[in-house]
Amino acid sequence: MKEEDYYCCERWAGSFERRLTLPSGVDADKVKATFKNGIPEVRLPKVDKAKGKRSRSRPSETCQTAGGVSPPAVFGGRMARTEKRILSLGELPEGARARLHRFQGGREFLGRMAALGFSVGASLHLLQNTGRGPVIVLIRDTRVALGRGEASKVLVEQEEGEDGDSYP
Amino acid sequence: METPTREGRTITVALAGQPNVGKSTVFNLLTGLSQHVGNWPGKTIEQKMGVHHHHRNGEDLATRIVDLPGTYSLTANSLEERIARDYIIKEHPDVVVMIADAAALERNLYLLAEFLFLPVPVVLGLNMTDVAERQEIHVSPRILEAALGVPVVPMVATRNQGVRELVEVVDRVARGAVAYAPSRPEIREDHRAVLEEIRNLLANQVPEPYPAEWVALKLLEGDEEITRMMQERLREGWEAVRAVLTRHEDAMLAVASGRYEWIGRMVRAAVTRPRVGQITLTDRLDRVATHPVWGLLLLLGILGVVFWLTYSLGAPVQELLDRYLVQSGAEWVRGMLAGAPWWLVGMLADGVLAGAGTVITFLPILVIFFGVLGLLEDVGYMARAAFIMDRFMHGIGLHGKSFLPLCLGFGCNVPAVLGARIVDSPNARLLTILLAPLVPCTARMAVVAVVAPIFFGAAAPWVSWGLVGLNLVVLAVLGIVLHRPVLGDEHLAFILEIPLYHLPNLRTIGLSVWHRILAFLKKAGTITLAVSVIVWALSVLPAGGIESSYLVTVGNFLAPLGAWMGLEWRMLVALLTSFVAKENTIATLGILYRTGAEGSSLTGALAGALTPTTALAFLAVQMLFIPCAATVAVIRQETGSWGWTGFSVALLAVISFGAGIVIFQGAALLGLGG
Repeated sequence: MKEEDYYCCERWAGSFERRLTLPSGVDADKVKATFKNGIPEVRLPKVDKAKGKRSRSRPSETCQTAGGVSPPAVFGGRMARTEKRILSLGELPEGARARLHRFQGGREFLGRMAALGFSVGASLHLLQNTGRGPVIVLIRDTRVALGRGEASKVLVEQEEGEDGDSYP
Repeated sequence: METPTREGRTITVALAGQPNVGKSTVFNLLTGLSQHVGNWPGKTIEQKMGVHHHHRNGEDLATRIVDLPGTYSLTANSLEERIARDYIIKEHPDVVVMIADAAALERNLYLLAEFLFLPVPVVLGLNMTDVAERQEIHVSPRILEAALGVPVVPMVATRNQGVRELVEVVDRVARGAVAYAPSRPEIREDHRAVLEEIRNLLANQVPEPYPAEWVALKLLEGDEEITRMMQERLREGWEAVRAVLTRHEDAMLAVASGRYEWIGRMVRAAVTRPRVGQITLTDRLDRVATHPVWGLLLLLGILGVVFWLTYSLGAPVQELLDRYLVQSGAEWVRGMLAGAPWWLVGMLADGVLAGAGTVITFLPILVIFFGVLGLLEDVGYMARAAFIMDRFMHGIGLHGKSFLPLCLGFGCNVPAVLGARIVDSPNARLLTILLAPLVPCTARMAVVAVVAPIFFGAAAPWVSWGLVGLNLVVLAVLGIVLHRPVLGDEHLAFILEIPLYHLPNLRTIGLSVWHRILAFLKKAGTITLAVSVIVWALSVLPAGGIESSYLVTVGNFLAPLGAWMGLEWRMLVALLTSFVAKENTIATLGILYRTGAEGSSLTGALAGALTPTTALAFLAVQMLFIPCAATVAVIRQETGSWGWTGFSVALLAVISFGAGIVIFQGAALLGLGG
């Protein structure tokens, strides 16, 4: 890299988050993220209608990229890139494994859920989700049935590898 | 016999634990039949106590065991949780025994994390170690004990293993013979300074007997009860505390994270488990049992078998009891008391035996029904039924948990109303209680079983099912109509643990049947008995014959209303006496229609007096009519309000008469005759 004089150089370190809800389903297998010259780029190919089976169960795919913005290219950029899908428990497909990300609810809800094993960072396995009616979650060796309303208040981060390899 | 210990008093042990961990099995093993079941003072939550006897150095020692309500935590979200923590803090038992499920240890230790801040030593009963082993989850009690600093006793309560060891450890802890130095969880690091700040602000203002540390933690959790208490105590000093709390509204997260971080450290060395999850028997069974389609079919099939068993086994026994206990008993009374005053004979034979006695004949049916339901509950199936029914119950403003109490109603409405206690929200509990009397109980079905064949011949089963259907439709409509006024905008959170299936424990089932039957018998022995005698008196006073009695006066008074339904006064009087007990309808019809000629049958008399249309109207009214005296009494007891009790009775009176009028007038309009 060339060394040049400069008048002012600013650098902001840290991580940022940008979340948006996409209008249509995304083929989770073909998502690509790159980081070139300090610019993170995430490509989310739309799902092929003919192969739409997997995406149907995820009506509101949410994409999140965490990473740092680097100063101008001369400084280079090296940061961890992780890619996560944050969705509510009600949106998580049946059989998926996930990590608890956040609660959307009051203290009373939080207290009741905590006592049943739900805490931020805990691994869970969605045993049943038929798209209607309550769901069944396996968390800390406990099977818990949650109504739709309750399930929508628990945000999780889906883990890849849907079967077996990430059991707590 | 309570023998004082060497210190000169009886040890009191509070038995705690989360639901579905086998706590009641342990309680039953410890106390046997010495149990006393009542209510917690001023609350409609069951309180169980008992005494355990054991020997130490040849000395008989008695330990008082208090069974605390099963709760997942000790926050003040529910009445059960408040009762459990108030008991520990205010009554200060000598030892708390917390029963934990070894197969779900992390979740169970969350409750322990709360107990460790209360000023009573805890002994951990590590139960269901066999279930855990089967899932290849190995828990080392010694390592866990060393980590927790709390005595740990491994147990398999269903096989009576570890109970004696538990008693010995409790005994040692109560005598102070065990060093008790528990490791306590801390709040997540980023909130430690805040907790300290609150503790300093509280200074010495925390009232006895509350532990200051615990109060500070509860304030951060946003516990309403403790917040109110400290607000009143601190007065102007409260403002500073409130300011800190407002800045940290999300502290509950830090508290919960801190607890699970601590739990993680506690189990790290003590628990080994397979890396990959096992497909358990529970998972395999639940593929069917909780499936939206197969699960519903399975539930309907199971209920079908329950009813078939109940009626095919129970009904013949009920008839035998009716013949040999009530009818022969009445004859025996008449024979034995031939010289006694007529009113005494009448009161015993026609009042006590025909009223309260008939109620008792339903015992076999109820024992079978509650036995089968108790079995389904004990193996863990009823949670699946609640899950399956949740989507339907939402339609009527309730959720899955109300399904079990309503289901009990098919046996008898009294345990149905009592069973509504499992519903968390007070408003939803009230709605469940209001709907419960619409579930047709065995006694009402017995009336239908006698009357329907007289008028409908081969079509009688269809008429019977139609009447049951009518009741359930009315129940659903009433739920839809009432849920707004009763519940308001309250959102009913459906959060339900689905326990692992396990082998039934006959002792637990037996005791649950016994307690439900006992509630029924108590009512039969008191309220039903009293009302039986009163109705009998009304039927013979003032002149000694039913034709000129007060009951007839009442019947005549209601005759205009009856005319709308095509029912004559005798039918109305029969309905009124069903208030004593539903099956009394038949007895009353018998007395009123079997006038004069000896040996004339009720069947013949009824067939001559009624048309099929009036019979149908009568049966519909009978099925929907006001609850029996015993049910009304428990509605009053459980709602704690005469207003709601009166509302329930008035509502059902209006609905039942309305249904009668619609059927009779509708048939008349269609030209089916009246």
